[in-house]
Amino acid sequence: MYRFIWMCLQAIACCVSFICFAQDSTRVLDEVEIVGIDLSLFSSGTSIRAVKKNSSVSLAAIGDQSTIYFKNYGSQQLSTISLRGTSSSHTSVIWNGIPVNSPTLGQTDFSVWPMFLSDQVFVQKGGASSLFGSGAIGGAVILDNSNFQKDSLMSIYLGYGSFGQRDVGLRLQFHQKQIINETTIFGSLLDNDFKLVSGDRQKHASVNRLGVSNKLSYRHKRGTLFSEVAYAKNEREIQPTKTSSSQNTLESENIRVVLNNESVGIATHHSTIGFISDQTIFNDTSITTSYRVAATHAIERSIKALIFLRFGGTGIHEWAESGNFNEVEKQTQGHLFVSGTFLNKLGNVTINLRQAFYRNAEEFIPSIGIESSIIGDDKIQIRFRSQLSRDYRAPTFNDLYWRPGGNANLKSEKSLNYELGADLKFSNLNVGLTGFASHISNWIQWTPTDGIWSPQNIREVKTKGIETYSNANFSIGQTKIFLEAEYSYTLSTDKGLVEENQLPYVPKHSAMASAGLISNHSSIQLIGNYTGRRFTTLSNSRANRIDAFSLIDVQLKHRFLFGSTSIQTTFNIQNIADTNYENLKNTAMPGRAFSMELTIKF
Amino acid sequence: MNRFLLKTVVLALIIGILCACSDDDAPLPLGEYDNGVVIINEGNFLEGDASISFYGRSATDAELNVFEGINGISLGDVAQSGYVYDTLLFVVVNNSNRVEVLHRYSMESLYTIEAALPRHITVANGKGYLTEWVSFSDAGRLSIVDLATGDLDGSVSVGFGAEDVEVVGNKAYVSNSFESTISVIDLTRNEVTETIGLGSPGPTQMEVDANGDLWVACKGGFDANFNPTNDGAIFTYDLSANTLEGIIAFEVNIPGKLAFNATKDEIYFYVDNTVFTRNVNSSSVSIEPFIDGEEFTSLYGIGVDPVTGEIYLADSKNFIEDGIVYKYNTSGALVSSFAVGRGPNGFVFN
Repeated sequence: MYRFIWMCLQAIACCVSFICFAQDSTRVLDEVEIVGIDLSLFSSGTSIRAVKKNSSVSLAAIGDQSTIYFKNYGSQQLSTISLRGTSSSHTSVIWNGIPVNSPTLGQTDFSVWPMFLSDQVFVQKGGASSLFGSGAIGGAVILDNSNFQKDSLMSIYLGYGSFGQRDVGLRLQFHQKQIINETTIFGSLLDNDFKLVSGDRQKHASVNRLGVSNKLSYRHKRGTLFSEVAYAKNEREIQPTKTSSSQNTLESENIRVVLNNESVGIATHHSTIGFISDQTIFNDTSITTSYRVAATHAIERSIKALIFLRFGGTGIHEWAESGNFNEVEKQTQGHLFVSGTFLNKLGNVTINLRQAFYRNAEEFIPSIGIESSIIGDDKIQIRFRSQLSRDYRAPTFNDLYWRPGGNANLKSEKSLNYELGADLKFSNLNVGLTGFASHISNWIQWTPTDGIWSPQNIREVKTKGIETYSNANFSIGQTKIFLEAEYSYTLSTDKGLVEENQLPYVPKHSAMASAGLISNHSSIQLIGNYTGRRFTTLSNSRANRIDAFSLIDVQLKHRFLFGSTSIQTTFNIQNIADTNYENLKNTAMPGRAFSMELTIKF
Repeated sequence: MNRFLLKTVVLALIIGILCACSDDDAPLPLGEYDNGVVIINEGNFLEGDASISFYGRSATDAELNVFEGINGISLGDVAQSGYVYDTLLFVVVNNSNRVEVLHRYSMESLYTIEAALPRHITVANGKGYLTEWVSFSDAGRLSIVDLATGDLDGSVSVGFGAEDVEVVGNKAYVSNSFESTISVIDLTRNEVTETIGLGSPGPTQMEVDANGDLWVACKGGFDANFNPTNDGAIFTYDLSANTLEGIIAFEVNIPGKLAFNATKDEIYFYVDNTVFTRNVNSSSVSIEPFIDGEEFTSLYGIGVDPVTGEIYLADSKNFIEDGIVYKYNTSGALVSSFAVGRGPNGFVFN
């Protein structure tokens, strides 16, 4: 059934994709933008930051140039996010307006989806359930491709690196009058047989990736129609722990489809219909498949450019099949939402209200955000922001129906999040500071009883912390210099169990610093990333500690121009100090690695 | 008190005093890890964080990560059980598919036995007998281990989920934990000669008592929807008469862990977080709790120190925190507690 759907989609994609133009996949040192998406207007009080794309391979690279912690189950293996001290299922991933966390696991494996398929990636830290629904307790990762622009006809990407890394990408664009169509293909093979401290090579960790997408935008009289069909496949040998020789494999296939129409009038109507399908096959035998259909209609209206209103509804139907479920499990949810942003001289205030309906539960999710800017003279600008929000996460299919252990009586996790921050802009210097605190109750935890693991609403977690960022750029003659630094301090403690002890796999300290030079067609960038020590249990004992680590990467770029053709060459050295470290306990990570990339744009 | 009993007591006292005297020039410890308790910490499935903790009998804290500290590598994934024989300590690491064989008193790794999802090992007649699940879809087996080399020297196919093994004379008894049976193997011919059916599913740990009877803990089963069938039980089997002798039936599923004192006449086990004890010769119908009302998070292992008679209880803390071990005296009073590794599931006494 699902292969049939895929074939149909492919046929449609072929019909609409004509020829091509290219877009540069690796942008040199984009500045951090704090703008970009439709919903930013209703995100007052929070900070949304664009992610720089320094790798084409996978979305897990988001962690490379930020203090966001990704728990990586080995090299290029399962990669999950932890925002503000929460777990992997507390960050909602939104793809072109559709929530795409797996209905069965409630999380996203960031290593599966090639970065090459994403145009714009934003991270919104802090509670965002009033905008995005279930799961946005720690924040949201927003993948938005709807703003793609006219670009060159064709670009080819080639990558080659250590441990048998071979990547190839192709982007074809066609544009004519109101139509832009872009087809993207990305394939990657990685043997991943990096050298271990013992001198042996890592065994059984190879990863193969494939990603295909087609985007179409059509500018009609009243607005824009946008559609995207995307497919990602990942075949992986699951990297065993250092002392294990297990030979497990995981194959995953994801399909995402969206159709979005914007119609501008006295009020603007946004209609979105989306479909996602996720399939995982463990050891060639154990198959889990889940589907989600989501439809949203939102009406936006501005009154004298001082009041912005948005209201509408979302319907979501999900179903999933697994050998661990009794039957095909289904769930339908409905959401009604109203948002208002009010602007005046002093600043702006946003109120978001969402009412969600589930079969056995209802959630009322409000948030209020406030922002105020003080502009000293032309050079200094200070923005204060604050948000108070209530957020939630509904239990997943696995939580509810997994056999054995699933608990159909689970309640939603609830949280109260507060943050306060300021951003200072002084000439070419940007500095920001945010303090946050949240209280998450009914946190779902799986615990064993007589050998059967079962989820319960037992945890009560308090998080608080500080995030800072600063960046500056200036020029010396023809050379531009970029400097950037980030630091996060995160306390995440379980109130119900051991007071004051840090949750497993949440580093208290994490930091990032980078420096870059750009001159004419060349650039060099140095990135350092520090991840503080983590613990594998709540006891925070020395015995179950994972040491802190620092990684330094270097990237050199040069662009050659031959008439209208440009060739960009990139040379990367990752983990330049050849540091031996662990992200997941007892799981080896690669030492120094080299790679070369070539992007040819016609 | 009659004369005979009095004599016995006097004699015992004299012997006791003699022993006490000889304690003054006690034998030197056999190594750094003599005179203490080895705690097997299972670790969390797939995280490869199994470990060994060591608790000196008079210490306040346990030494953690002993194996890794001495040998420089981590123990592996899911340490299922430990067993000592002579100067050897066997640690069965289930999901790493091997048995680590250590020097019992120095904890230095001597060799490893490669196996397929191994569960328990015992030594008899100079040979090792190792149970293996093999896989979740194949029948389990009992493999014979050459203790000089660590090589497997033949296997006998038994039932599904081969769990614990007891050797009595030239017979081995293997509990088939995915079934309701015990396989009896004639070790002279290496053949299954008999299969004992039990009235309850999930036989796991077995122990032989002072009378030569086999005690078998059956965890109880699960129905098609994985709901517990609440039929956990402990059986006693008369090995000479080949008959089921007694049964303690529980109306719940049980953890399936047992421990005997040194004289093998007092058995200890727990259900949920209540510990029970029973004399093997008791004819009482009811069993009184021995330790009750303690706020354990999740009991996961039990052991009785053959030297002191003290009862050790392992609390897994649901694997969310590091484990804790509680030490109780023979009258059920808490003596001390100390932190150990993740998921402690059993004890070996040096």
